[in-house]
Amino acid sequence: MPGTILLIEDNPDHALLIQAALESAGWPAPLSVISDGAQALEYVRWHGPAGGYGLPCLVVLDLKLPKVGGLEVLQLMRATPGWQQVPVVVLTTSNHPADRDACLAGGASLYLSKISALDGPMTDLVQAVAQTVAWTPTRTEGDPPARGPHQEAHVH
Amino acid sequence: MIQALALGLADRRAHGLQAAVDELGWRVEWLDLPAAGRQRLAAGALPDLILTSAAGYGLEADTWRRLPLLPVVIVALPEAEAEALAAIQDGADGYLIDPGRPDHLQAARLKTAAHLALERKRLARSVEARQRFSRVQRVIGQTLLAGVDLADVLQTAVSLVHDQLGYDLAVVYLLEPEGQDMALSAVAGIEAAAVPADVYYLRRGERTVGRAVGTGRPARAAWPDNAPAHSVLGLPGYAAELSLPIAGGGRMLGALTVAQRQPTEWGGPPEADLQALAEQLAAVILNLESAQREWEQTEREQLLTHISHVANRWLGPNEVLEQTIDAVARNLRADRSALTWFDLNQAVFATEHEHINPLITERRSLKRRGPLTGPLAQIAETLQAGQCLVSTAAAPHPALGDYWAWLVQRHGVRSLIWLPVPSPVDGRLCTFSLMQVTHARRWTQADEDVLRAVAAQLALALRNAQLFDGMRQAAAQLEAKNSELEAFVYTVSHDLQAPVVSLRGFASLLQSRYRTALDERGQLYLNRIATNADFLGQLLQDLLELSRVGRREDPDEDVAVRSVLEDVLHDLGQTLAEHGVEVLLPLEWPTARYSRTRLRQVFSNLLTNAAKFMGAQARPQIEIGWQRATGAAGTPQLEFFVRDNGIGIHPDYQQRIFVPFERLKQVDVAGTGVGLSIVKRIIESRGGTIRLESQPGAGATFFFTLPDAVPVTDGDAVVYAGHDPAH
Repeated sequence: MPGTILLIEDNPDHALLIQAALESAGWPAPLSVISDGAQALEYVRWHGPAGGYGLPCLVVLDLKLPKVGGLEVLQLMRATPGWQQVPVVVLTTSNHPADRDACLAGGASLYLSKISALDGPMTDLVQAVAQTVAWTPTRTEGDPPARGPHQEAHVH
Repeated sequence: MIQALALGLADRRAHGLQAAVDELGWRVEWLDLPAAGRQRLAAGALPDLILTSAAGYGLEADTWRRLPLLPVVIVALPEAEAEALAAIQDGADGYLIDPGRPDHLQAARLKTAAHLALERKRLARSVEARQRFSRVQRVIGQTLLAGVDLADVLQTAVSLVHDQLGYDLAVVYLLEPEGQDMALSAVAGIEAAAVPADVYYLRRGERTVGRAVGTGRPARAAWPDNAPAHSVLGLPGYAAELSLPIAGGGRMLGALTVAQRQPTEWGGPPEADLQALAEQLAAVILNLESAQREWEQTEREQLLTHISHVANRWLGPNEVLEQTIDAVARNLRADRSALTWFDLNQAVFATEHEHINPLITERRSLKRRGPLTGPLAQIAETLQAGQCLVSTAAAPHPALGDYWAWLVQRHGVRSLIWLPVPSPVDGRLCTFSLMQVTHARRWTQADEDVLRAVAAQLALALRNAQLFDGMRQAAAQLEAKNSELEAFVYTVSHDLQAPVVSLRGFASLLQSRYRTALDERGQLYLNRIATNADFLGQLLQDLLELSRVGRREDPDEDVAVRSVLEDVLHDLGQTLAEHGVEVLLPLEWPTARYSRTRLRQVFSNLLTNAAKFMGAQARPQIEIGWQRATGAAGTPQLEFFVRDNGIGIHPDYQQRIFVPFERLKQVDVAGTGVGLSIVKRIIESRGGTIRLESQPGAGATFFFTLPDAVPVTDGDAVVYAGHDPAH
């Protein structure tokens, strides 16, 4: 069984949508939700070889976070022993090229725009998770939405 | 009586030399060490004659070379005759063989040798003087040919008279054109700064100068006691003075005056030379006077033209004032100029700008600010009333009060003119002043006229500059407002994305998971929610894009337009196929200097737009073409067109299609209506233009310009940067 997914997302609605998508795709493990950047930094310090608690198998990270920005959280992760190997999927409303470049340069595994990824069954997100942690979604539901999915994912 | 200096002749003195000079009645100074002789010649007055031995002459060769006009007689023993002849070859003026016995050195022979030597040098001196004089004449003639101004010629002349002809003082006074006064125009022999202020102008008839000018004949004066109260410059230390009238063209022009510290007999060839010089100066003055009148006129016109140019350039008020003041000071040859503001309401003054002639050594700044009290208050009041303040050492303007004394003491100012600029600038009074420290310049009516004209021009320039300043501020404010608004649009549309994402997500979840829980009507409502959420999302995306394109965040590069269009056609393949559109492309393609992303957006939006508005066209077609053109600034440009044969656009709507979210209601097509606004913003933010030619039912053609890639010259062939000529 895969480990915990760490979801760093301040918008409760978006967190709910992500949870719903993973649940309906049959994600078997728990989901930890953190709603601001400061808590995320704390989490990084307490988890992993140095902190003593286990590492998540995947991080889904929003960029615009209260207190401390997502990019800074990403930088701390990449600078903390043990965390370097944890895949980080950045999921944000921004589709600005500068943000995307900064995240990929800062060590993000994947950059997804919420505008296209958080759409209905959220195929993009589920697929991204499946690829990153070697897990096969068990259930898919409903028909794909009438407007074709946008391919906004950029693999690093 | 001859005064002689005998060098190294101690041994001969006892053998009859002393007896011979005594017999002749000479006064002889006997010095025996070469060094002592050298010191004596360097320090004291020169003797009439040098007596020395043949060996002594050889030792002091440098000294004789330095004093070519000093007669030297060699006194040699018979065995040294060859040496004595060598000394003659070398420049000595005569020799005398001393037989070596006390009674054989005859005084008569010494007298003859000395006489010949003196005569020889007198001749040399007169030849030398002629040569110097003709040099002086030549130089003056040359300065005239060089077309320099009168003051320079006169200064050159007096300097030559002093340096070359050996007069201790040389001055020229010129008659003032309108008055009876004579103005000091050039002086050599003392520092200009040492000239007393009260002799800059002399009255006609005063001193030798006045007499010469008054009578038209040379005027002489001698002061054996060397304490002349009435010497030309009123200075002590001169024993003799000669003034020669300078006259020409049927009128008196002025006088040339020379003075000597030693008593001097005037007359003879030297005076005739000076007379010739005075005549030459008269010719020069007459010549230059007319030239200078023309030249001053032209120069003043040029000054005013220059100032109106400055005024018409888009400069801030301070720049206009400063550049003008500098130009005026240079043009009128003022030593100093200053720009002073008076604030009569706040009772403060500020001297903010000055110009100092680079040749002036007194360079302490006049710049200062402070309360408007004492003499400055009175000055401000006088200038405010439109009066012009003129002040010289001889006649200080009463309104200047202590300020004049301060200027004289601290900055050595000898003459001043101070004018107001007619219109007050935001309640403040702008004034400017010109000062002379080298001489007590008398400001002429012409000077004042030109300065008044300058002031009037400045008033105009200030008004223009202020208007411009206001415009510049307004433009800056507008720009700030615009970018503020853009930033606001950006933030808002960004923040609005989050709830739209939620709306779409939950609507989508409802549609997929709870569809069966809703009846048909419920499903319809849910679909409307989803569609509207999608549309809202698209609007926000477009809005974001629109606010982003104006900012030019992407760098320009050399872009092969062909490759961009290939990408666009690939992306739009499906859309174009759906509408059955055929695309016609040119065979040749240029390289543009552009952002690749933005250029792609331009073509993509234009093609999408064209495909959308094909209407009922049976054979929809889009044609793309280009040609080279020249931009407004002469820059090379590429003009592209995208032509369709769709429904066309009514002239009334042709401007509106570029307005964001403006859609022509007559047709029902998808989209938010931002595409063309984005195109327009991209093109215009990069200095290009876009226009439309269209008729309803006859299709539409969009023309737009892109900067051409910078051509790089490579030998004869012109290739384009970033473009490999091998391909």
